Amino acid sequence: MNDILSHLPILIVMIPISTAFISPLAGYLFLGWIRRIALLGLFINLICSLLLVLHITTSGPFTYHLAGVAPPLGIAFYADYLGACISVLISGIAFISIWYSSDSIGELGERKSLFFYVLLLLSVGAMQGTIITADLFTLFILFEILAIVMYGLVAIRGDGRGLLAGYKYLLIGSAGSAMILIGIGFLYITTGTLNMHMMADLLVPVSDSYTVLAGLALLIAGISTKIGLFPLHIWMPDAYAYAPSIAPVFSTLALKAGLVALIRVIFIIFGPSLAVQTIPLYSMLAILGAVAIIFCSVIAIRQVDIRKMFAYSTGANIGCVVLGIGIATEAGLEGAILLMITHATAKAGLFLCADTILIQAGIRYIHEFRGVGMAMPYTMAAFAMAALSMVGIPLSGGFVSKIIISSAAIASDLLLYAIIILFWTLLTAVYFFRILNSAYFEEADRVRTIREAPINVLIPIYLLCTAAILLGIFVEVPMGIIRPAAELLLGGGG
Amino acid sequence: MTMNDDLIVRTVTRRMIPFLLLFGAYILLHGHIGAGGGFQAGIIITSAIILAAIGGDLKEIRSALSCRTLFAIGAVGSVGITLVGILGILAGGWFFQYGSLPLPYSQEIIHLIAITCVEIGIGVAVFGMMFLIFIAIAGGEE
Repeated sequence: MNDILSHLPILIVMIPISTAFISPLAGYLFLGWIRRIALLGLFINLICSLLLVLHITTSGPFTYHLAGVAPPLGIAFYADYLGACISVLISGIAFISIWYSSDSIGELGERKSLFFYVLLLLSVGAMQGTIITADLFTLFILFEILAIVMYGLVAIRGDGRGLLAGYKYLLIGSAGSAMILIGIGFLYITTGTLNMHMMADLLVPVSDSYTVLAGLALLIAGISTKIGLFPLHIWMPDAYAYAPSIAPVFSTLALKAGLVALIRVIFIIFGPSLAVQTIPLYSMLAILGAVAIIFCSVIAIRQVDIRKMFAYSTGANIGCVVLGIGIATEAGLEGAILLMITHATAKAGLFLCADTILIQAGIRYIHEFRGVGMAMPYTMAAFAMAALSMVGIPLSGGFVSKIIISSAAIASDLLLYAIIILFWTLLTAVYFFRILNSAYFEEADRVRTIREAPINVLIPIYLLCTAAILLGIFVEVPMGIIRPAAELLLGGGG
Repeated sequence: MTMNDDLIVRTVTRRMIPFLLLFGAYILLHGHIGAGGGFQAGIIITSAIILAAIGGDLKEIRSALSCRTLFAIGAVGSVGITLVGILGILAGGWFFQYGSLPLPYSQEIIHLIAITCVEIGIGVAVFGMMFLIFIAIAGGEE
């Protein structure tokens, strides 16, 4: 049990975090080394995540005990299929975004870009911990690290709007953190343990007590603020719009980490209790998800700032993932996890494209996109690919995940949700094709000198945007690990 | 902030600082068997330095400990903690499992050494970051 592979759960958390501490030291000695060290750390992290997936697919999920102390006294990390596959997603997209950010970081200046990299690396470490921990209090701490890092990332530019967006995020996020902490407290005084798997068994006989129900409600509400589920999404548009360069990509990833925590709370901690209980949790989540889809999509159509539009589109996608969780069948959960992967890939690609267009042409409002398709053909082609995946054109990644969730809804006699997903596809098409239309088919109103992005920027963009399409064609690659993940979660968490 | 001219404030702070530092060191080394630990010790030591800055000359202390130095101190402390954790893995145990370190002492002594190293790391990190926050609030742009 002591070969290096069994240490991977702690390594994927500690490598980004220790890189975050080492990189300012190195940056202190040799200016300009921060990016190389960050890139190296994330590359090692990506390799570790891939090794973890290989290890788990060959020998099954396993538990890692910190300091060798077993639960209930010690802290356990539980590396299962879900954690491993989202871990690859997070480290992969983080690596590609930092690779991309080589040139664009300049807007922050040297001193702030040092902090920027530290925050990015810390956020990656916190996300990896959030998705892999099996201890409820560790989950709270890592959530808190992630949230504080995110407030910093949103406000790092230090201008008025950024600070205001960060402050808004701070207020809502702190309320969410407090709710998570109180909920954990309620569950802890009932069961006397913080380990998720032990708690699951201990909760079954007391699952109808008000303490447990309040704990569940507070946990779900707290995590919903972190993932920006519909009524609690109000921090998202500003946080996306005013965060510098690639920070929104990491916000998107942080939402995915929050969704994994939501899945764990529902299916691992409360899975056995909900099986004997009649709380309408699943149908409530499904309704919230459906409302989020329609509401956020309609608002997204009205946006003029492309980043705010992306934020509302993310809100709709989060709604669809929660809808998939709320269907609570194996197919629904598979679709939800696949949508998390395809959405993160496509949205990261879109953000990188939008950032390149902002840097090269200074364009951030949708009406300014006229003629960009001619001036920046390669970037706009990548943008179009990722947008097609977001809309859900057949053969793209988004299509497959949407079709799995809608067929799961039909299979459980929830035809309305399938119709909502179809309607959502239409709405998404409206707001993405609006941009593609003006970029490709409208003449530029004045002669502008926009130059195409350099090749070293285009490579990471194309990696993400082609991946968004290829995920639909080679869907069996992620499904190979998503299927056992859903099976394990619905079987009570193993 | 200029030099504080009040004789009482200057004298009292000057007399209190050594005791605060000693108390901080006691809390730091006592953390594994009683109340205290790296975080509390870091706070107490920082409060001693902050007292010196309030009672004496902020500019002097700021020139001795610049923002970059403090940032580096905080990072060094954090790296130290991580290193102790990784030593556990390298020695063939789990992350942070001190017992497996190949030192020629009994288990308890090894535990004491490793825990003290971790506490010192936490103390150093907390000191660096807390004082950085103080300087930032006090208007630390030099």
